[in-house]
Order: sequence, then structure tokens, then C-alpha cells
Amino acid sequence: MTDALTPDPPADSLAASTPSDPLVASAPLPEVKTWSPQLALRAVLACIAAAAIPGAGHAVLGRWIRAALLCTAILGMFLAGLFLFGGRFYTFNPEEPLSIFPVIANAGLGGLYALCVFLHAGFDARPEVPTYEYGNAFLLVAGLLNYLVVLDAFDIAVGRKK
Amino acid sequence: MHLLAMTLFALCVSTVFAIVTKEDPREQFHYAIKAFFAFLGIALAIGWLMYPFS
Repeated sequence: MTDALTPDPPADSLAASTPSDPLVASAPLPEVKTWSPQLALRAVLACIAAAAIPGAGHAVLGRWIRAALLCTAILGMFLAGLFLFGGRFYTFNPEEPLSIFPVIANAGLGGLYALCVFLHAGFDARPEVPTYEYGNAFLLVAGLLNYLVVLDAFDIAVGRKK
Repeated sequence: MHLLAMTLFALCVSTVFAIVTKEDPREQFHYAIKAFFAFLGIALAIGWLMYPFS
């Protein structure tokens, strides 16, 4: 009954009001990319490259400036943590299961971590260096940041981000 | 050494955060500057707040 009594708004007023809606006007529709073998290969390649060398995933995708900045930042943290502040990588102790978490954080460095495992560099404690705890923190955070960089490379590869 | 470590940490982390969270280069630059000074300022403020209890 109320529907019958309520006059329909004129068509031109509807057309005029829709674009002025701030939510509608400001939110661009996400670009939807359909999955294809090429897209999947590109994403996998970018993720592997980003995990192997910090910033390499962005370089594979043609984002050279971002790649250089990311590589400088993460490599700088890694080198400063290991050599300037005397940090070390954590090792898993089966008697302390929670020690797996810092190992996971360190392992985020990917290729750099694998290189250190191969050379067995950075696993010995250096308590004579007074800033070794800063070094440990630098190595942990560098690994965690590299996880973010891998995810960012994936987002760019699949078109979720420019 | 402590201030150097904090500054280096803030610089590297704010750079990565800016690149990962923002798309436009201008936004990235502004975000990196803000995050860098926020890291330093908050760390110094907390340090001074803890000073009377040390």
C-alpha cells in the first residue's frame, strides 16, 4: 500500500544521485584477471626470484626502482645485522618448540639464508660483540620483511597491484 | 651505536613498508618519511618515558 502511495523518483534524479555517492565514486572496481598458465608461471617465477634474492621478484616484473630499493633495504639489514652488529641466525632446539618461530623468521631471507646455511656462516654466537642482540633483531626483521616483499611481488604478478 | 642502529632500522623498515603498502611513488615517499620519523620519535619518546624508572 505504501508503495502505491510513494511516488517513484524520476529517472534523471536516480542517474544524478548515483555518481555523487562517495562510496561508489571513490572505489574503483578491482581489475579481475583470469588465471592462465602464463599468469601462474609469471607469479611463480616472481615469487621464487623474490625469495632467492630480495627485490629480484620486482625486477622480474620490470619494477626496477622498487627492486633496487627493496634489495638495498633488506640486504642492508642483513649485512648490518650479521657483520656490523654481530648477530647470528637462530637454530631450532627440539626441547624448546617455540624456537621454531625465529628460525622461520630468519628463513624468510631465502637465498641469503640458504647461502649462510651452506657456508655455515652466522650461526655461531658472538657474545663478545656488545650489540649482538641488535644484530639478531636485524636478521629476524630482514627475513620477515622479505616475506612481505614476496607477497607484494605475487600481488603485482597477478594484477592485484600496479 | 644505539642511535645508529635505530636510525638504520627505521630507514630500512619504513622503505619496505612504503613500497609494499602504497602504489603511487609520491604516496610511497610521503609514507616512508612519516614512518621513518614516527619510528624515531616514538622510540625516543618511550625511552624518555622509561628514563625515570630506570
